[in-house]
Amino acid sequence: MNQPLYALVDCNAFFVSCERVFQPALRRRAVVVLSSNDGCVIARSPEAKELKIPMGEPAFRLKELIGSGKLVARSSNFALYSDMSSRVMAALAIDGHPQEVYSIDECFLDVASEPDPMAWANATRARVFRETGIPTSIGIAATKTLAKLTNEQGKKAGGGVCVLPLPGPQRIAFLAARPVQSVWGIGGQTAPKLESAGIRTAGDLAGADPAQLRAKYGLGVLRTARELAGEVSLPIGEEPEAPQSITVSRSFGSATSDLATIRAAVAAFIENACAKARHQGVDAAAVTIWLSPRGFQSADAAMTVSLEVPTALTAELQSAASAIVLRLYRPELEYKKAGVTLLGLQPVGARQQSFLDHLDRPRAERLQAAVDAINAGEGRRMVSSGATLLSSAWQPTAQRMSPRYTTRWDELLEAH
Amino acid sequence: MAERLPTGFHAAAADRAEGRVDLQARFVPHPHATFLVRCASEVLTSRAILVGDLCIVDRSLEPRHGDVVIAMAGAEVLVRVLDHGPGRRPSLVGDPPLQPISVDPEAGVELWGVVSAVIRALR
Repeated sequence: MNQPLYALVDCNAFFVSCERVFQPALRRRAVVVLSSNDGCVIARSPEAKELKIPMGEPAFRLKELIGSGKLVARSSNFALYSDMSSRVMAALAIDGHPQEVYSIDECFLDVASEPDPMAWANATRARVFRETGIPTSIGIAATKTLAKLTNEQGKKAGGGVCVLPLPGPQRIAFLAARPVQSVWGIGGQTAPKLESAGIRTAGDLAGADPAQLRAKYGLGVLRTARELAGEVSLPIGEEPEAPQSITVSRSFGSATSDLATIRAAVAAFIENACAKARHQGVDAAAVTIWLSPRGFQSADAAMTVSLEVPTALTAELQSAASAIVLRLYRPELEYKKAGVTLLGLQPVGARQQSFLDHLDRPRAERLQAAVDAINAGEGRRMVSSGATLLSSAWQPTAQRMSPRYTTRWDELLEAH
Repeated sequence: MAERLPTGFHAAAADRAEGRVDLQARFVPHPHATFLVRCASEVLTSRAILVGDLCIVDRSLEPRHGDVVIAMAGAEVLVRVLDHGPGRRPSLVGDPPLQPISVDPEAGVELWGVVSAVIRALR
């Protein structure tokens, strides 16, 4: 059997790159993409980084730069990004390597069968760019965690491809130069604890005592440490067992092709399913959404996403669900039914060390508990998330949104 | 088996089990690399490509001499014919002829994709 080998393919400045595929005027210019409601910066081109614009910068502070023509800002165009993401992922699936789509702009591939990983990576990067217009960088290493760390290096190196050195002095130096908080799987809360225990770099973590790591920081950190040491503990597509699930579905009063109505219905189903999950004291590790078109127009469309952190928080699952609905929805179809299924249920206490968890979870959970208490006292859905209101008023204000080039007939690219 | 067995016409039709001709499969063999671009110019009327026509652009195809292509030139999105004859540098031309534009990524003129088919709705 071949040595394990994983590639992490990451799209460079993904949202900006999507805009640039269709708008040549944005090439070589400083470009940022703003969050929904045009609130703050969520993606930056390299040129925008050079202008020292930080992630999360509020849009109002960019007025001068935009006014003087030094910077272009675009509203987020998730219909476009989501479609471009599926194109990139499909392009990467062509070789038949086991694939794990990790986020909208990243995926892992198991490339152990590649005789020359460097040549494969260079060819793949060139092909993905030719076919989709999206530039990527690729990190290759013996484990997913190492591949993710290596990928950063690929980006900096400019060539966009980086293969981790074989075990030896070079690899030791590589790991010693990476701060522990830059390691995938080491959250913002864990990093300071590790640092105060003298584990400051990826190399320190790889060499730390396994028993102590497990006892002090839990299984998640131990797994990460093993991965850094080159031992696979997070194989591709490892999904939690799903011994049970919670499904909520309903037929619509009449078939509809109105996206706002469908989103509102799915948001309501999620609210209902999450209430059940919290009542049972379980978190969901994944959520499936499905839409059934009327008659024989088309087969049911379904999609499942894994959650970075298992959760039963309504707001969190609603935002995941909303993104899925946008992916599944086809404006030309009329839908008669929709449903949601929470999968990979696990007791709340079993939650593992989380990857990239930016949510203040205890606080969000207290808020959720307060909402549940009000609803328990006053009857169902006294307090409800705004997403379930049947209205198109939730639509974010997006004054700088570019056309949805790939999902709308009336917004296609025009050539002169 | 408790289920009813299909008989008659339906069974005969199922026996044949041949898929109906599929436009998507024929004209979009590489869906992830295929984009629709609307022609907004009269530069290729001699190629019978008219304003409003839908160009199916397959970016996975290698551009060849004589292909209709989409190209980015400065801030412009162009539809042109690729002129890349033997011994010549690639350039973009119209049909009827127009002043050629050299393909030169350094100067901001890049090929974007090959137009593999054109669709025109008649009603």
